Formats: sequence, C-alpha cells, structure tokens
Amino acid sequence: MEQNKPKKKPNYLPINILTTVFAVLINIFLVLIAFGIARYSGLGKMQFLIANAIVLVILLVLDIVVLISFRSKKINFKATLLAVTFLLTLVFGYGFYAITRVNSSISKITNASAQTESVEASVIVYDQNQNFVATAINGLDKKKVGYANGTKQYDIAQNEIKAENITPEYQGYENYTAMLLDLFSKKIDAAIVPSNYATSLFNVEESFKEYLEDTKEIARYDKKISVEATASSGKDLTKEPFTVLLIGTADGLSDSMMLCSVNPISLKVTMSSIARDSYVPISCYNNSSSKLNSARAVSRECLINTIENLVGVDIDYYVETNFQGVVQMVDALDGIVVNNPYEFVGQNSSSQRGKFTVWVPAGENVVLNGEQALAFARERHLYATGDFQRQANQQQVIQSIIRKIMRTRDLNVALDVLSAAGDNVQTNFTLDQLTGFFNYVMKKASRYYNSEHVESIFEIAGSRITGYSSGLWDEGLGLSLYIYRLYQGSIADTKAAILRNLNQTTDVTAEKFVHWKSASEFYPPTISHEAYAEKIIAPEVPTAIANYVGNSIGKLTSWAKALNLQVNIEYVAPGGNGYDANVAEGTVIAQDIAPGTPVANIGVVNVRVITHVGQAPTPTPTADINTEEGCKVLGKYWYNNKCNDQPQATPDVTTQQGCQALGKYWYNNQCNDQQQPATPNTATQQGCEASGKYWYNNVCNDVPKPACPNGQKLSADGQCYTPIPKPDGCTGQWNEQTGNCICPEGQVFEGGACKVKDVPPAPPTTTPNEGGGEQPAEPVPQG
Amino acid sequence: MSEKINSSGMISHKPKKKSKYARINAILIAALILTMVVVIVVMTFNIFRIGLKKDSLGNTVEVDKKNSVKNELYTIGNNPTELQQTYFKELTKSIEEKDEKAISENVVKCFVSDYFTWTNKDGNYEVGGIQYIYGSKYASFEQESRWKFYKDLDLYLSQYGRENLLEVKDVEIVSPAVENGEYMIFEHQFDSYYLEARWTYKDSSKMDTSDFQNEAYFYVINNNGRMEIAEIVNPKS
Repeated sequence: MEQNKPKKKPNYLPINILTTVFAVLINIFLVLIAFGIARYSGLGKMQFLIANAIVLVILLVLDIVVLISFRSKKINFKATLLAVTFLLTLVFGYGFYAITRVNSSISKITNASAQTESVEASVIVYDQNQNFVATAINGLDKKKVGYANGTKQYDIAQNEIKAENITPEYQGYENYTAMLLDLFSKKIDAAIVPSNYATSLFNVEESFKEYLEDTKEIARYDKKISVEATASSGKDLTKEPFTVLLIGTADGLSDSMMLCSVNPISLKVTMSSIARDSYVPISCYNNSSSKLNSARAVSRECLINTIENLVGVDIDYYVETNFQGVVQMVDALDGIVVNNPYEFVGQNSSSQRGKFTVWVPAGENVVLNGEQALAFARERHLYATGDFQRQANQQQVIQSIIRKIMRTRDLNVALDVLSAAGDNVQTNFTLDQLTGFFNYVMKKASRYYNSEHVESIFEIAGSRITGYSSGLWDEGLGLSLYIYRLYQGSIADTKAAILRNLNQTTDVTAEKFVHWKSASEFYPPTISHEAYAEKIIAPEVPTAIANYVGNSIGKLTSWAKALNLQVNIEYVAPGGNGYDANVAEGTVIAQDIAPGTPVANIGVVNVRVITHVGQAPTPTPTADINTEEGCKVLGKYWYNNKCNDQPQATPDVTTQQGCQALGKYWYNNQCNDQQQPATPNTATQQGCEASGKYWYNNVCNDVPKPACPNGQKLSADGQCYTPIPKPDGCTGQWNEQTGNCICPEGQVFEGGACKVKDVPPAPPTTTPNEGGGEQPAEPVPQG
Repeated sequence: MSEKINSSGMISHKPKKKSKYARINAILIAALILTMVVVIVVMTFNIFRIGLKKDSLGNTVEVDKKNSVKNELYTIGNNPTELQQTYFKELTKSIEEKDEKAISENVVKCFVSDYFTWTNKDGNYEVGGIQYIYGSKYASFEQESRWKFYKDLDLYLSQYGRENLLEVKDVEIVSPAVENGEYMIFEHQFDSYYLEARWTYKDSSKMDTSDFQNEAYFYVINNNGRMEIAEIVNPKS
C-alpha cells in the first residue's frame, strides 16, 4: 500500500521572529521619542498630550496586530507586516536620532549644572635682548613669578609648578595689565597668562604688541576644570520683565557686550552696547579700574558682576557666543540681510591678524554669509567713529538673525541653527523658559496685524553707553595705554531706560493725544546722547622724558608719538663714531635731552642709534616752527594761527563756540549732531506742510483748515459763509459770498439782472430866439 | 518523542522541532505582551508628567474669532467691541453703496473706536485702527504710536487692569466730510475729504478719561479706491 507523503508546512518562525524584533524596536524608538520631546511640551501642552495618547494607541494596535499574525497562516499578510514593521523601524530610528541630536544641542546650550571648561595656562618670560632669565620652567626656582588674582590660570600653573618641586616667589596683581607692565620693566621674572596671550592680552593693549617678539613661553599647561554655571534668576519670562547680557567672545576676552532688557507685556527691548575698552571698576579686581573686556579673561561671573555694578541693574541671564557661533548660525540661516554703507575686505573667523580674507559688499538690504556677517560685526577701522559704528553693526547683525529665525519654517534649517548654537552658544536660560517664551511670543504674533514681519512685534531700542577716548601713562615703560572713559550721564540714561522697561510701577508719562501727518517722518528718541556736559579727564601725559640710552629706539618713538614730539635719529653704522658691534640693532646710544627734563620744555629729541646694516639712513631734518606742518612735526599744537606748547583745551559742548569746535551744529540753543534742516519754502504746498503748517486755499496757513457748518463754505480770508445762489439774471461773474455780480462790459447789475447801461439824454444847448419866447437880452455896452 | 498511530496502523513519531517552534513562539508572544505592558506604563507616566507640568503662558487675550469680520477692503480689529462691530457694519454698507463721503466718515469712526479703545488690547504692540491708516505709512504710524500714545499701555494694564482702561462709547461726526481737493503726500496726490469727529469714553473707576483726547480733525484720502486716514489733527495742540 502506498503512503502519501505529508505536505511540508511552511516555517513561519523566522518571519515571526523578525516581525517581533522590529515591533519591539518600534515600541522602544517611539517611547524614547515621546520622552525626548516631552521637554518641549511648553510649546503646546494640549498638542503634546494628544500626540502621546495617539502614540500609545498606535503602539498597542501594532503589537496586537503582530500577535494576531502569529496565528495567521497567510504568507502575504505576514510578509506585508514584516515589510511595514521594517520600514517603520527605519523611520522611527531616524526620528530617534534627530531628537537625540536636537536634545544634545539644547543641553549644551542650556546646561545649568556644572560644565567642563578647558583652561590653558602659559608661563612667559621677557627680555628685549632675548637674554631670558630662564628658558625652562625649572629655571624659575626662587624667581619672582607674577599672576592675576582670581584667575584659573594661576590655580592650574601653580599646582603644576609645585608638582615639579619648583618654588618660585609668587606676586599677585589686580589685573593682567599691571602684571605685564611689571614683567616688561623687569620687576618680575616671569608671568602666568592664558595660553592665547598673543591674541588676547597683547591685543587688550595695542602698545604691548611691540613687546611680543621679545616674549618667550617656557611652559604650557592644559587642564579641564569644572566651572559652575552662573545661576539664572528663575523668572517667568512670560510675565516678568528681565535683563539679558549678550556676550561675544574672542580668544577668551569679551569682544562685544550688550545689555538688554525685555518687557513681555509691551514687547519692548532695550539693547545697550558697552565698549570693550571702557575703563571701569572691575569687580574681581577689588573694584580697581581696568578695561572692561579683561574682566571676561578672569571669568564670566566677573564680567557680569562688573556690568551690574557699572549700570546699577541686576542681570538675570546671559547668552554667550564665540566667532564660530556667529558664522555657523548665519550660514545655517542661509545668510542675513543688512545695510552696509562701505565695501571692504576684513578679517575672517580664524583671527589671523593681518590676513584680510573676507570681502564684504556694500548696499542696502545686502545679503551676507557667515564669514561676511562676522567681518561686518567686527570691522571698525573703516569708520570715523570706529568702535561705535561696530557696536551699531553688531546690533544690526543680532536683529537680522532674530528676524530670520522668527521667519524660519524649515525644520532642517532649525536643526542646523540649533546644532550651530549647541557647539558655540552658552546660556543660563533653562529649556522650559525658552520654550515657554517662544510659545508666548507666537501667541502674541497671532494677534499682530503684520503677519509677514512677525519680528516687528518687538520694538527694539538700540543704543550705546557713550564716553570719550583717553589714556593712561606708564612712566616706567614710557607707554600710553588707550582707555575709553564713560559719561556718567550716559550710564544714568541707560539705567533709566532699562528700569522703565523693567518696572511696572513707574509713573505714566505717555501723551494722551494723537497728532500725526503721513508726510512727516518719525525718529524714535535716543536713550543716550553722544556727549554730556561733564568734566573731561584729560589723558595722562608723562611729566618728563626718561633715559632711553640702552633701550630700543621703538620705545622712544612710541613715547614720542603719544606726545606728538619729533625724534631725530642719527644712525651709527659700522665704522661710524661710537659704533659698537656688541650692541643690539636699534639700540639708543645717546640722547641729547637729559632724563627728567619736563615734557613741556621739549621740542625735539635727537638720538644716536646703532645699526649694523650697511650705511646709516639719512637723518631726519629739523622742522620750521612757524608753519603748521613744522609745528606738528615738532610735536606742538597748531591753533589760533600759531604754534603752541600746550594742547588746545577741550571745547565745551554746552556753548556755541565749543559745539562748533567739535564739528557739531548749534541751533535751538543746544548742540546737535545733525545739521539743522533747511527752512522749507512755505510758498509751496510741500514746503508749507514740511514746516508743519496747513495748505489750503492756495496759501500756507498757521492753523488747520477750519470746518464750516453744514451748508457753509470757507472764504479766502478763512471765514465761513452761506453761499448766495447765482441769479439767472447775472450773466457775468457772481460772488456767492457778497452777492455781487460783475456784469459784462457795458452792463450794470440792477434788479437782479445785468442790463445794458442807459445812455443819459444830452444836456440842452443855448441858441437865438426865433419868434417866440422871451430870450435873455444881451448886455448892451454903455458908452 | 511522542508516538502516534496513523491511518494505516503504523506508529509515527511527532517531530521534536514542533515543540521547539512552539516554545520560541511563546517567547515571542511573551516579549510582545511585556513590551505592551511597559509601553502602557511608560506612556501613561509621560502623559501625566506633561499634564502636570506648570504652564507659563503669561496673559494673552484670546482672539475672538466669532466676531472677526471683514469686507472687501477692511478687516475689523481683534476682539472688537460692540461699538466697533456696529461701525464696521455701517462701513461695509457705505462701501456697498459706493458713497465716498460716507465711507470716509465710517472709516474715521472705525478708526477712533479701535485706536482709542484699550479694553480689548493685549499689549503695547497691538495698536488699534492700523488698517485705516494710509497704507505706505502704517508701519511708521504704528511705531510712533508705540512711542507716544501706546507707550505706557503696559503700565496701565499692570496698574489699573484691562477692564478699567479706555473704551470709546460713541463717535460723532461733528463736521461731515467735505471734499478737500488734492492732498499731497510727498510727490503723490490724492483726492481727499476733511471731517471732524468727537467721541466719548465709558466711565472708568480707575482712570480719568477726561484727560484723554476726545476730538480731532481728519484728512481721509482715496488711495486707489481705498479710503485711508492721512492726517489726524488734535485741535488742542
């Protein structure tokens, strides 16, 4: 008997296994995504709740379907399910990756817990002849080593040096500038500085650059240390006004600083730039004064406290970015739009000084990429107002970035911006605060009339704290250190504007009426003035000439340049009288003015300088003191058509003479930055209206056109009258105001009509009597 | 191995594999059920976590979509008062009747009832009546208003409360619109009307509304068929 071979059952186990694995992965990915995006629920709580519920339902349904498929024998169904779960695994896997990337960036920006900061410290020595006191760290045993108080660099270097059993004599300084001055004047043997000192500290003071080539780094230490992030104030940003400090850093220094205040009810933002060279009390230098940007070299906390003390307002939050952050964010946004008056070639983000590698085009509404935007924000040499135009440009860049972000609808762009920010931006805003505020602003934006320019919902008032250039003099080194002194009035005005924006209990001062013409232009009032009538602290000037014999000619010329003094150099070449081959190139071997001579008594300094290079250069000629050019060459001051020993006193901006001397414009009893607008010609309508008057009846009037009651008209002399209808009989010109009719020539207006004039009868003539009538007798002559 | 008698009386053996497959399937099913339980627990926790999170949405007046109306030329302002709705209807009617003078007067009434009413405003940024201002200058007008008349609205809101702020009760056209000839705005010419309006405010327990402007002269221009306010004159300034 034949036996039937049993049909081989298909093996569904591999399919079941794969389907189950994919289903479990889908569950894991979706749950992790739901968890990962829950931190953004501040953007829309109800939407997030609904989304979570939907995810839960989807997952349960998926799992049940997979379970059912185990019992199914239909291969098509199983295969389809397998394919679907496979695809969903890929999709949600990518979604999980994207969320992880976003969260990582956000966490880097808003991490309020301790962060790790990489700190590099270097030990440097100085000698103008390169005969350094030590060429390695072990040469500093028992030597004097300077450090700036409170700096992390000192903590690191000190520990490393101690670990090598070296015991120098440490000397603390209030700031890096004071320490470097003592290093250059040999009062200390070495100094502990940030490792980027060449591009940071030696750029804080321009006059330090000449010492750089004679400076040597003999040790470098690199350490990661924990830094406590500056705590945020915990305000509800949607209800309470708050302040933010925007910091742009470069090489460890704060290159730009803007103190902003934001009012969430009025949506008004004040943005006040503070010059990096502002000479102010530094909180971590025991409030001794130095340049503001050096505070960041100590710590962010130091910078924040310094500005709080300076302006007198608490700083609730900070946002800090470096150059790369600006470049990457702008590129992620596909460029920003600015108004740039001048085309130029500027520095790129690599901070290679002297290498101008970015071309920035000029124009209105010109689009700049990341490097161009950075160069535009950093450029100052091109402008007459230098650093201050740069501050205005920086504010323009920030506003343009905000505008672009608020208009962005592309998720990829948003991710790229977040990624760029994550690597380069730090803040103590929490994520909940940021998402809550963003959601709040979007709700406001839904009520805003100008939906195409939602960024205009914020009224941004930009300004800067003004001051004046000045200088500090270091007698020992003969160095003039540039500083910027701030006007107290400007600080007070800035503080007042910020406090008004923060304080909701301020008295109301707004106008209670409206008076507006479309032909007029409105310019928002400025927060701070360009100048204030305050006592100006003149730059420190040296009192006497030092002994430059044995020093580099560069030091003497630097000193002389600061004082506008002329230096005549006689180069002593090989074979010349006094030549010494052992003396360094450019060393002064003789000066004619005795050390200690008061500067006021010096016109020209004559020196002899060693040169080892061939023939001596031609000595510089003596200038003619009676000419302006010669006077200036001699380092004196030309004004009032003569050469003066003392500089002209700084003009008083509160007087007309002083105002005009400063190149400003005196009118309306005050000094104005802008020229007085030309007086409009009131004989024309445009000129009449430009002068704020009223054009009607073809003349310019001081008062607005009065309204006349219904049925009345306005006469040429501004009177209301009831027009008298023209009678049919008036065939000439009718004056509806007076009721007069000027009839055509030869006619008169009588009885309500124009009539031809009646010609009166001719008067009767005298003739002889011809038969009748008594005639008057002619008189008979008597004789 | 389990034994079985088949139909021809022969003893057959049940494959070992079948029980192995069944075991594996059981493991897979258990894994899926476990996954479902974990998902339910975790997602429920997440929903509660989000639900219990404190909202910080500040105070934003919700847009009154029900009363948001527009005609062929204008859109009514946000959260319009009854007065604004009434005037807007009159404006719509005058547009349908193509009566320029009436349109001018109604534009002014709509503007006044919106601009000088604060009880329906969310903040300083929400300057009322912008849609009735000369189109090329409305952004400038908005900015100027935020620096002048609307400058301290945040203080009023904080100190007095929205319900106690200005609300226009009635607008009267004191001097009807009359033709004003050509109105120049820089090099552009427009046909224009001149009219005067006076208005009153609802009483407020917190503010002295008598301090605020209650009359003005208006120049209304015809900007390509759309009547727009080109000038507002305060007779007391």
